[in-house]
Amino acid sequence: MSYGDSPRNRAGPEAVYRLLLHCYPADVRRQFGDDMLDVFRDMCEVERQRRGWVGVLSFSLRAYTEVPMKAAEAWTQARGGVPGRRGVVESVAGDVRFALRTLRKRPVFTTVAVLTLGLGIGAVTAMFSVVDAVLIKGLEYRDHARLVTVWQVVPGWRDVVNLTDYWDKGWLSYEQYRMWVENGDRAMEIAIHDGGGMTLTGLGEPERLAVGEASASLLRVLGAQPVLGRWFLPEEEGTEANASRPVVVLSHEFWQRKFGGDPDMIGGTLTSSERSYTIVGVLPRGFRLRMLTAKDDVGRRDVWVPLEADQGYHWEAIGRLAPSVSIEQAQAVARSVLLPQGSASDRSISLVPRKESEILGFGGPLVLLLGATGLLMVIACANVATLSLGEVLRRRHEMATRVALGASGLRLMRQLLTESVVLGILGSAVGVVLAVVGTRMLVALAPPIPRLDGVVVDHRVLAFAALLGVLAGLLFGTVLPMMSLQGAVGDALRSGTRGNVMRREAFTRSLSVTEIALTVVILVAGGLLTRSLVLLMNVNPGFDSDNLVVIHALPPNGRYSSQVEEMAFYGEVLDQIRAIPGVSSATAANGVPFVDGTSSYQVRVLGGEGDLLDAGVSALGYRVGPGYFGVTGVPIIAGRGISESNGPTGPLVAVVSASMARRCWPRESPIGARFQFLGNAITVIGVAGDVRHEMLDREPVPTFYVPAAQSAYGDANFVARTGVDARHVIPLIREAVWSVDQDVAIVEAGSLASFIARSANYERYRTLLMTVFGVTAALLAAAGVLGVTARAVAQRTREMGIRMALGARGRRLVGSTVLESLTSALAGTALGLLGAFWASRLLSRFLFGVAPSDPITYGAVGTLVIAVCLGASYVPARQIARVDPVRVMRVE
Amino acid sequence: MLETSILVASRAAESGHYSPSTTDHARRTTVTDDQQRADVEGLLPLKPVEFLVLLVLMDGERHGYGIVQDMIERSDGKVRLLPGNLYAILRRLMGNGLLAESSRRRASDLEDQRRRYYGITALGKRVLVAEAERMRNLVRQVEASRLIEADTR
Repeated sequence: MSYGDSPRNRAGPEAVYRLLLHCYPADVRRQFGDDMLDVFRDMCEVERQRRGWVGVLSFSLRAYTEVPMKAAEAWTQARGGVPGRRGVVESVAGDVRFALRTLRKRPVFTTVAVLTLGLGIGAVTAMFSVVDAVLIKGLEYRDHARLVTVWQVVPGWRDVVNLTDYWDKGWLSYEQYRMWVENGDRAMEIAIHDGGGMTLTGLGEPERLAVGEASASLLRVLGAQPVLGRWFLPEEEGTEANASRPVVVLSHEFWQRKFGGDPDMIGGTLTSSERSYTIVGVLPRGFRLRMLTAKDDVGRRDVWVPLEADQGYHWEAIGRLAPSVSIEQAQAVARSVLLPQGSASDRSISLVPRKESEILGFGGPLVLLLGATGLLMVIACANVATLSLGEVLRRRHEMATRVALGASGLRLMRQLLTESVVLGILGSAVGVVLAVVGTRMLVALAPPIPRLDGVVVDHRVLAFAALLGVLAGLLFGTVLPMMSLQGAVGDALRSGTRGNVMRREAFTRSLSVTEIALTVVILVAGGLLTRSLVLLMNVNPGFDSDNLVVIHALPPNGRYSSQVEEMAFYGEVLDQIRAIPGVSSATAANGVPFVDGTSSYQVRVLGGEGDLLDAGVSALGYRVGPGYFGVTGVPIIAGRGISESNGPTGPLVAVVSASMARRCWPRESPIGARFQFLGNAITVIGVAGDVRHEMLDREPVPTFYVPAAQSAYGDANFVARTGVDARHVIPLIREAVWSVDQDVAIVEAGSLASFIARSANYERYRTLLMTVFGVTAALLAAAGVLGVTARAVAQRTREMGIRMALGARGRRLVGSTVLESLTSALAGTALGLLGAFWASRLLSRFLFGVAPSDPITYGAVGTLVIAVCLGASYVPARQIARVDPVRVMRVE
Repeated sequence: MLETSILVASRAAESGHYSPSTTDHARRTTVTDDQQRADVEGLLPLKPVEFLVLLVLMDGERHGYGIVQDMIERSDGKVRLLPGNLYAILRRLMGNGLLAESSRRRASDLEDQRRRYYGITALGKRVLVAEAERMRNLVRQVEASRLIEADTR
């Protein structure tokens, strides 16, 4: 198992050099490789001190380009080549040297081309390294191809409000796990786990720890070993063992953070608000295990404890198939063992390869973004191709001279090819540097994505970048020479001929049309996502989230066990919070939408008819304090809200949501109606507005609110409405909570608006990236248009001069030049919109409230792109007005 | 042939290593010495950077980066070898027996201890001297043609 065995995160330049050293014959590399790397590092450092990053960049580029040539010499020697006689390798080295020399003579072209390519390669490489880490690379578990996730399929959950998404990803019960252990086949070994929490006390402020609860079989199934001490024993599982001699295994990170990696902590004690655990082991660095049903769980746990037996179906199960057992065989066995005759008949068991279930939901957006960077890369290539073509045109005299002096066409072609490949490799080098920076940004901005912390620019990624560079080089290194050599000699001999020039112009225009079209595709994607995000964030959650602060707190287990004690605790904390300056009102609830969920219940309408009577209705149930509706701003549509008067001794009452009222009492007024909840008859006293709970794009579900005083809070969420910035109040509220009980752990605290924003994290991330790629594409395309027009203008100076001498007005000539580029802008935009229309189908499942063919987005992008193209062609076209006809005529 | 033999014998005597019993040895080495002279001639002319590398190593053993540093100093920053070129030169000089990897490691610095040190061989010194003489001859010819003044200092 190789958790976190990531290669030393060396700076990009050195990593590239290390990779390049592979050009050398193995024995030379073995003998000198490390030393060369040492020298490279030292010189890099000197350059850094001398000239900063510019020095590092220019030094590394020079050092990189030198390696293949020197390596070629080494190969020649290794093959017993005679020094002095030019072998194939050496002559290629000669070509490379010559290519570098010619590139150096054209610094502007070289710089622009290398930077453009670098940008494209950098974007693709950075995105690829993310896709590689999250989707392609294996899981971090040993032989993970044998690992499966064991789901319980419960079709009935499709009708349960907060389980709808999980009906085919249901959890197992502890009892089922025991059944497997006792009767299970050797076809597969199963482990179960769940995420939980504990409040760490006795080491500074009470801290909420992420706890993994697991069966003793877990590490064996995953194929892991503790780095220190041991994992749990089977006899440590279960409630009794946990109560009498609780044990805990620390994660490597927690061990380092809290105990400074002290190995003597094995056998020591870890105290939570509930019990004292004996520390028995430490897990390897980077050990992760996700709860797959929690999308934002990346699998980090501070500590692991043996599971406690209970009745609930909440354990996620992971299995390791025995050798030579297929997933179908194991599934059949699992069905017969886990679902014995007589158990609920509609249930089933499904086994899914672990990797498949791990990447579920992350693949689509990432692959889409990778695709966008791919388009960006094509745009960059087209740009460089346009540039190179211009260069070839400029150099046609040189070429013609060389052909006239006896150079074969093949020889010239090889030279041009070498130049392009060298350019490509230089571009990859720049791209790798950009990728290193870009990857860090991608990771820093990202919402929780599993394995994202494992993103490194490693040799695979570097190889990918190098390959891209060489391919790009070949692409416009073969196409271009073919285009240009056809007429090289002819052009020189008959310098008036325009045929080839025209053909080349057409080719350049088509390149620029391609660029514009691809830019439109990316921009439309970015535009659609942006519009969808804006619409999503404008969805009314059903309450007033401005200036609302939520503190999710957890009192130590068992401290407020009686309802009287609990109510007293909550009352006291609320009094403290209300006394804070800036807080206008405060209340509490067992859960708050977007912060801390609550449970769903099957409620039966009393006095109802048909299925309402039999099956009941699935609804979310909140237990709320007095004044909840006033504080949160959830409107009371009919009847009244919950107040102090709904105490423990009064009649049992509830407020229901509008959607629940419609579902349960479609024809009559719900006020005064009754439903059964946990065996009690509850009277409805009011109807509240609908509220969205976890995601803004989910329709509200039937919901009811009962007074906490008549049930119990359980979890504590304090909600305060403030008149000032939430950030100033949060620390005061923390203090207020701790002033009542300093052992209360605060899980989360923040403004409700920030929690709602968090619920759209993934949407925001992909929108941001797509938009950045779109803007980059637009800039590249604009640069392309600018270059093409500038060259056209330069080539036609003579013509313009003559026309001006004949009386044409400068401004009209500028206008006609700009109009010429309008043709490609229009063609490109039209093609691009068509392409976007076709491609946007891929996007449709990531859109909210916007059709993939949204005319506003298409129109806006089209207009923007055309405007940018016109602007980009206007800049060089202005030069025409400054042409001096007299000077032109004098030349003639 | 005989002259060379005497030369070697007398050199040995100068350096205090001569004893009658080594005469035979000296005579035997004569042949090798002759070959070596041919070898030395065969290795000339040196490339300027190779010459510089050998010159730097006359001051003592260096590791790769040390050589680069000294060359920068000696050339007033004009000669900045890149690692690939440096090691191509070192490999070539080693292949011709002008340099040898040192078995000695400096213990003062852990980082430096890991690195390879290079030293000039006896043959390397001879080649360096021969190259210097060759260049001096060239310079004298130029001086004789009055193109530049002879340096009389």
